Amino acid sequence: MTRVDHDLLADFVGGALDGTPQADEVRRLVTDDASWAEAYTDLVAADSAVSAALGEYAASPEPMPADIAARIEAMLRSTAVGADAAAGGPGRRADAETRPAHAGPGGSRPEAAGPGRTRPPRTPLPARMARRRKILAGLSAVAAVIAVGAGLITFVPLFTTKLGDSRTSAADSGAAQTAAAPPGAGPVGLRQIASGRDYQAGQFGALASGDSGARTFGSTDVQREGAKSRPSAASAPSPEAEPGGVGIQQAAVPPELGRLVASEARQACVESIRSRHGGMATVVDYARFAGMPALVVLLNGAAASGGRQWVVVVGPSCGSPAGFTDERYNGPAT
Amino acid sequence: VHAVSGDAAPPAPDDAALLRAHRNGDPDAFAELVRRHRDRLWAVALRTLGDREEAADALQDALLSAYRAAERFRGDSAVTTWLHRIVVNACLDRMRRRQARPTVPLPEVDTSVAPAPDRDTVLVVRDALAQLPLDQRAALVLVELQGYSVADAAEALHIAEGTVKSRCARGRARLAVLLGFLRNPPEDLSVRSETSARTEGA
Repeated sequence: MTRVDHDLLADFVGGALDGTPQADEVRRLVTDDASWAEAYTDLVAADSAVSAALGEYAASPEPMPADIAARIEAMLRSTAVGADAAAGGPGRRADAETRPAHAGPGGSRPEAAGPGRTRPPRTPLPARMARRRKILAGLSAVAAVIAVGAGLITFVPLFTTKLGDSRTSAADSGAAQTAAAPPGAGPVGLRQIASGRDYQAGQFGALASGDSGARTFGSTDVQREGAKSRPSAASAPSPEAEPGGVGIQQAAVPPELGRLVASEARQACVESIRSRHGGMATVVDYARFAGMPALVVLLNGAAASGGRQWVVVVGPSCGSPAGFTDERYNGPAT
Repeated sequence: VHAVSGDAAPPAPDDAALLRAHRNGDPDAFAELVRRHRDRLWAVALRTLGDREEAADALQDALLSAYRAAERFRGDSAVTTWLHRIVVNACLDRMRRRQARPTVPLPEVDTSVAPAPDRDTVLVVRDALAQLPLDQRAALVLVELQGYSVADAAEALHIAEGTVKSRCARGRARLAVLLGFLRNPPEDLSVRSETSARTEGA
């Protein structure tokens, strides 16, 4: 009797060895060897039961939950709007003459082609602008609320942030935000730092305790620490070079995170995190996680936190599209 | 007598036409494509990852990626195969990332698991499936649960057909142990995820 190789036997039963010399070998063992014969008989019988169980599972309906369907739809809508605004994105090479009529189920586009009609040319510019204005109006309302809060912290040095926000275009985001918010200010209580750290799972104690340098580092200190760990960071976007910028430690921001320095992008990111985890963001650190550029966000009152501070680590695409977190990690801030 | 209407709705565009429309600038075509297949895509993500939020995030990642990569779709496979491939890859990426997270550990393999009479079979199978190595699980989800042919699953997973068969076979054997269907469960039933070279391309 020889020892049964159950993987090989499973391959044989599953047909993975068909047409190979190993199939003949296993067939011979099953015929001649009592251990193999018994194992074979058992496995074939069990496999039949597995098939029945899998069949039952496969037959159970698994419709996409309504909330997730809505989330996906919202993401696709915002992505479409974003692509509309960016030149050269997918689907932006509109050619009205060649576009097929669209009359699929569920299509709700008012301008969609009706039966027997060809789809009209690309939506007129004014209509698209109106649509975008509608969306931006909503964003501006949110920005205005944040801006009011940001204005308050002008008088609270403790919360003064270390990174500038002047990259956001006032034309795109509404005047309220840039008019009211001082350069470098974020939402109330949200500290922004660029610690230069490369965090690892379960090693966020310094961030939670405030020892990461958020309060004690001067601009020069932060820049030096960031530059020390990432010489390439010098290519990061330079908010301070723009009008209204303040003393920014942009050299400490990993270049890949440059987009998130802009207040609108950062707010979208934080809001995406908040909608998933609850709580309130208190610190964002433009840093690294497991060697990769990451925004490390400290939350108070997160749903899963059980009263502890909670860390959510996200990637450069956080908040784009809205609701997308690009999450890399979450866990207690220890 | 049925009235014949000259305004009968034209047949809905097929998947390839929707993707073309998306590439040509139709802002709703991709969403329509997703609407059409979302339940199957969701099932793949959920059953592969075994976690609702992870599945939602993976699906979102995948659809965003597909949205942006539509220009590169060459039509060598069905649009649904292409979409499923992107979803499976997003799940695999997320799963690998998750394996490094101490806060979301994979369940320990418990060979004492047996179907209790008062537990729903679906839940038991789902739990057992979650204990399989990821590559075995992904193959089983596509072939056994989503009804893919071995060839289509091989294409979606970018592996040889023989490897798909092996992963399914070994996954089923592992499930037989986890579900208590083997009279004498072998203690050394391997959870090796890769088939040996002898079956590659078989």
